[in-house]
Amino acid sequence: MTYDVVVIGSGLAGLVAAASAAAGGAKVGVISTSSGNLGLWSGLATGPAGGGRDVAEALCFFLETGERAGLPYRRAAALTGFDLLAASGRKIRAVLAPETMAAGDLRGLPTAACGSGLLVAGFTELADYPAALIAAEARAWTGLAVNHRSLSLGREVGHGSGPRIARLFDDRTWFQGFLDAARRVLIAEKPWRAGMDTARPAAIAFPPVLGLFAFRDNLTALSEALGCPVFELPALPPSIPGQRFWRFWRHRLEADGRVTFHAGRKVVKTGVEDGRCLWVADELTRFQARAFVLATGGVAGGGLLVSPSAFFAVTADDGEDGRQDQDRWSVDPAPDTPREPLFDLDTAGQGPDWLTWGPRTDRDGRPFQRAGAEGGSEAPRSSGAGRRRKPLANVFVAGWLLGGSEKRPPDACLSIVSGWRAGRLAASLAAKPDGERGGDPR
Amino acid sequence: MSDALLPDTCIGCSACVAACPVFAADGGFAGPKVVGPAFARRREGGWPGEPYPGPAEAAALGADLCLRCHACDLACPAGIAVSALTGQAKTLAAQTPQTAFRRFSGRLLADQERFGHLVSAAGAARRLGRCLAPRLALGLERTGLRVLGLSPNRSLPAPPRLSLPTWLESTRRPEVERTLPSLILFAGCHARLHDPRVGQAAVSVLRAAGYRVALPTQVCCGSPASSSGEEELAAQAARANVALLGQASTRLGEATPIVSPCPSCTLALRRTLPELVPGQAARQLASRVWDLGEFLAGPAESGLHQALERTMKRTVERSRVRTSGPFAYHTPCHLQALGSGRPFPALLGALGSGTFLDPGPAADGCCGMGGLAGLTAAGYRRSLATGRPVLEAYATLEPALILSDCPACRWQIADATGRDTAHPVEVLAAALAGPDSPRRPLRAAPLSISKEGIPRTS
Repeated sequence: MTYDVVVIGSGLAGLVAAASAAAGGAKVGVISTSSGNLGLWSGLATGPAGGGRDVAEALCFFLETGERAGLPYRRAAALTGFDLLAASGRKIRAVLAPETMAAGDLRGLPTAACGSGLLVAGFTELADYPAALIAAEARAWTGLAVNHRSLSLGREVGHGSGPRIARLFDDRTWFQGFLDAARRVLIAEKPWRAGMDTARPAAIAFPPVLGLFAFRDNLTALSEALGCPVFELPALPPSIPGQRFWRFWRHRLEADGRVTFHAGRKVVKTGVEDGRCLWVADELTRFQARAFVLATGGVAGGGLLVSPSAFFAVTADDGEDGRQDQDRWSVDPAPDTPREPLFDLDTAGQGPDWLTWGPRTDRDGRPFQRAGAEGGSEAPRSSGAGRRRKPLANVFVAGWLLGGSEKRPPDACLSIVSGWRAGRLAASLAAKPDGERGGDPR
Repeated sequence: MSDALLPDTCIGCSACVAACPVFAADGGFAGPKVVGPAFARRREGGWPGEPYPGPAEAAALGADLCLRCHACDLACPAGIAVSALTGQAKTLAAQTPQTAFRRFSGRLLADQERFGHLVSAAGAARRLGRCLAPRLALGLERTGLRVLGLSPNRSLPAPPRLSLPTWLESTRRPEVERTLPSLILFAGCHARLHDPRVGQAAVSVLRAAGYRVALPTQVCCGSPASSSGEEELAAQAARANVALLGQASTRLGEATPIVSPCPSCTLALRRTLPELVPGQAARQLASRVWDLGEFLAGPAESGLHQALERTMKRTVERSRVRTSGPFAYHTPCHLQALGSGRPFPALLGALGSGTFLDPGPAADGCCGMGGLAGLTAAGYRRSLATGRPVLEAYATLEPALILSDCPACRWQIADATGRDTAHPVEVLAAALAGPDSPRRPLRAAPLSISKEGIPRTS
């Protein structure tokens, strides 16, 4: 099969890269084993976006594509980003947030939030969403008056989990009944806390399960019915915001007709010649393209190969009686560095000390946060048996695979910005006539 | 064992649970994470003293409810073949004790070869009955369905007048075909035994693209058996196909492509068959299996374009080549699992054959039919509830035809929405036949069975 651009991986970086390459006029093939870490993604783009024209353009592109896909995102007016509540109830900074969560910007909430309180609504049937705990944490971390209430969704749900409840919220008839119950339970007839001047909360936070498809209409209806702003909080997986992203973006890209998804395919072979990749293949099919985007994720996504011994080599000393002594297990510095499996690219690993799994608590200290293909988002270096070869001129790296290479932990902003940039560079390289290719695209 | 089947690779993230259409709709299904990797881990060795889980435990988790749509496989960030592990639990759950008759009818349904032949053998009687006393005949058919444990609410396909092999032989032109490259059509039970129109359209399009189509003796791909938990039946079917298609390949050439218009058959032949039948022969066979759309958009593309050019020369203007639209296209789960993209909308779009309506992202999921599961009396309502978002998305559209490669998806969408459905190759065949060919509707409207609406939960 022949495309202009082949994107390997369909997580956040892969989808953004595919959209960006398609916007650049390329015919794009996306080859992936799965939807990557989207199934675990809270939906928030945290982390520093950085500055510069490229970043501004990338974020703009992301917002526009989201709007077209029917899954709008918002960018904070404040330079520092949104101040939102995380799944734990603590405060979290986000550069971009889905429309459903952006309304929860703590700085944007009515000032009355201090008086009548922010209300964290929970569902009795929803596992892993302790509304009381979230409210207590939020009180401690934000200093705001935060209360909580839980309501039952009825027998129909049983022991519910996010996907089941989201399915119910997609049902209009059921949702009408829910509106009445929400009004009854969440809006008290008289103040239910001393010092409150009104029974109506300043804003209500819901778990992010208000429908897989109908969430926009549902939030509007809820806000009208309850008479105050409502928004979604991030929650633990299974992630409905991640599912929404995967479904809405993939649908838009497929419906636009420029992007073809080859899901469930694992790239196992590559054809490299004269410093350029000509094709990649799974067990069955060879995919040819003029440019490639490598968005295969970090260790969890399979973009980096790390043997267990790379994390820690565990040795057990034999005791005097020859038996292994549990107290004398020792953790040695890891001997291996992680390897990028497809093109055997250099990683950000710096030898054994790099992988020390020490007691440091900062995020940079963890090996999987610091692993990444070296070389920036444009031209990765390829190495073989200790020799450095010419960078692959038509392979661009995006997303978590880059994490750590710039001495920063991988995050959603990195995926969005590097995905956009890699897709755009790949499309412009693919559009060049044959004679002009092979040079540095920058 | 490959890494994809090691349950310890599971990181417990629940991405598969979020993607599973059955879990969302059915409170009885514990979800792919629990039924797949977690259950497999318990079978490999749980805590000391913990009872070894058997058929009853698998059934208690609702393992039999898994539809084998493979959505979990495509969601797993750890690269586990979750559906293969849920399949193991499903096979175990199928061993729960049941009455002899239920066991018999279950096996009969899972064995499409026997069941299909039974239905087609009864075809003449059904046709006669429908002419003489339509109401009585329909009543009798529905009683028969009930006895076999099938839902009486399902519309049965009209009995075919001419079988696919007979039609294929009667339309063969040996003098033209002699020099053409051969291919083997794996028609699938639906096209072979119940509804030959899809097979006929596939043959016409492949012939127009310059191939000599052979339809050697073949049996069911085994997909209905493995999705019913009848692994032994599936293995029997796989062994039979390796032998039968192997013989045909000896005659036609070892590299002859095998093309199927049904994505479930393609998936079974390509993925499941080499797992069930060890050996080089099965692997070699699996490596040359193509989905029809994939084949037409790949090796046959230039031939197809030339055929369309010829048709266009016969017509006054290009627009007359177009068949009536607009269409909506539904991607079957098994086509997604094959990773073949969506070849037909691209092909039809490129050929100018009709426009497509956008049903929205909700229509991208599983229709809920799950092969045989949705046909049974017990699974009927459940299947509608599982496919609800998809079925509602199509119910709100007004396309002339809803196209899908999978017969089960077409059956479900037609039954639930009352809309006409067809295989996209039928549209392609109509476009290639040009305006001179006699016009006939691509598909008669089936019975609409959703009088009470699509249920929310099962």
